[in-house]
Amino acid sequence: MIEVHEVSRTFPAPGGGVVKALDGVSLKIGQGEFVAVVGASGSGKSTLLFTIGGLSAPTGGRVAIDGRAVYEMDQGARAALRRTSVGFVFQTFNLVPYLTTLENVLLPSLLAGRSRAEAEAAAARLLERLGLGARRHHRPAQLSVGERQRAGIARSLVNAPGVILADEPTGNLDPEAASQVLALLRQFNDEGQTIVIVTHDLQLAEQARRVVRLRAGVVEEDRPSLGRRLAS
Amino acid sequence: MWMILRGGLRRRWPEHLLAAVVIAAVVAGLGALRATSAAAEAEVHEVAHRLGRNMLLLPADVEPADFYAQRYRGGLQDSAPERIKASPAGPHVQMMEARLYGNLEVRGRPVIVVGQDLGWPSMPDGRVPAIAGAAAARALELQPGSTLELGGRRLAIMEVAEDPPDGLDTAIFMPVAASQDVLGRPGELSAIRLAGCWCRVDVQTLGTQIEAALPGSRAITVASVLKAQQGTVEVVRRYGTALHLLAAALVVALVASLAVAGARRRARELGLLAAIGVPPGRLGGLLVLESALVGFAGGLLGWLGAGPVVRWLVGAAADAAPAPSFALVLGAAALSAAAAAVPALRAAALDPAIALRETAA
Repeated sequence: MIEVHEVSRTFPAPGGGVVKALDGVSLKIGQGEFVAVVGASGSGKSTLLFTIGGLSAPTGGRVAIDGRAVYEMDQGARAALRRTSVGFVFQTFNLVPYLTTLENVLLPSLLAGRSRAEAEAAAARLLERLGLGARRHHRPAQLSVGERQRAGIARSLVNAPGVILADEPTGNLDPEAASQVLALLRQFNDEGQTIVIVTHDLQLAEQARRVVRLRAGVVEEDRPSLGRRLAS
Repeated sequence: MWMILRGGLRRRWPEHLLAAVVIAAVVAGLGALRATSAAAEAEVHEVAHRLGRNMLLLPADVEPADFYAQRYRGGLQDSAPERIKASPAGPHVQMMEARLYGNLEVRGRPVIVVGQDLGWPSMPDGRVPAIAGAAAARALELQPGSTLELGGRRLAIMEVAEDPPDGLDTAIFMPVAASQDVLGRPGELSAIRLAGCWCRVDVQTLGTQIEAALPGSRAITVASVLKAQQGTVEVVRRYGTALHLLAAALVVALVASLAVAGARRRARELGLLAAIGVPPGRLGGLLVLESALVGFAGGLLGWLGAGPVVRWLVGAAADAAPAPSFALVLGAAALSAAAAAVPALRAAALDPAIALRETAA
């Protein structure tokens, strides 16, 4: 369970003053939900995602994952939370360029204290499942963009975290690769994985189960997706 | 984290190599400086030890170190002893020993000719009396009673000296006049040893008086040697300290600027590592360790290279020079780590969300 309570985040503005990226946002995201956060550029979507994931401390309010207040922990505990309970997927993939696909995927496992053999086995299983088994020894530059994003998803899942946070995961992909990635996310959600994605693509957002719309750092709308409404 | 460390080192190898080479040059330079100044001190001590309470007069352009290394050149006139006696210093001089030294090749073997008046006996057959050092006797197959033809003179070997003075094992000793003929340096001397009771006179003043009486000569005394040594050591120390500080500043500036540039280029990677759960302390430690390894590699390279540099600078005297301390290598690693610490910790403390978003393509 993710609880976001009255969260605010301001940034210093270039010409002085402050920019309010989030302004009193409150949300509750239950176990196994698939939530799409939508909004125009600068509406605070990515800031909300990074704040939930323990990467960017809010200037006000409280964020908790499974009852643990993320920003009341020290940095070490918060890093441990990111290692074990949260997986990130990025628009630009953020794979380490000098590591192979397999090494990129097993890195979080090693950081979580697994042995190399265990980590390799888990990473290899995931890569097989995501159709990247034959690409495990390739470096990111040798993969297509769709493959890179699938490798990013594998990395986010390797420690079986409770929550996947995806920032514009299809933003850099062609339609075919985008639908493959989305299908994967839905598949993992169907297996009980909590997923929060940020997107400005409304069509994609409607394939989640719940849509949260932000405008100027404020929750403007929070509703079931059309697909969900149709199903119910 | 070793994967990241190894990958980071490999990916940025040109700049790491550059840093390592610069650090190696600095460490080799410092190691060579220490070794050569220590070798120079040892050489001066050796000269002082050999001089004892005596004074040695040499041509002004001959270095005592060259003289004792048996590299002979230049000359004094053989009227020099008479002129010293006639000078204000003359009354203080109780003993004078004029010598001519020269290097020759005899039957393909290097031999030192030493002209020295010892009260040699006169030989009825016109031969010149001579003494051979043990090594010279072995090399030229000489024994007491042998005759050696040298420079148109026939030398009668009177004795083989097993332990000749000043370690002149490869020398043939003969009267000064004969050595001038043999070496083709008529009227020339290489050195004059002076002894006396110096207790009532300032030895340096005496040396100055003798130099004034014999322009183009140089009086070497223990006092002057030690004074020169103290001056040299002081200068080397002063410049050595400045050089060490300068070298340290160079290493710090280089490593720190590379660390800053590297951290800036790797901002997204560092943001990612933070996102997947690497604590900031470990991230900073990773960057510091990377710099320390580069410093260590450079230091090691320089440490290994210092020996050849010393040999190139001082030749055979390098054998007497102490090996550069391994502390230089550890110092280079520690300095590199310290130089990278601030940029590394600042990079690790950067908000990962900002790092990931600002550097996103």
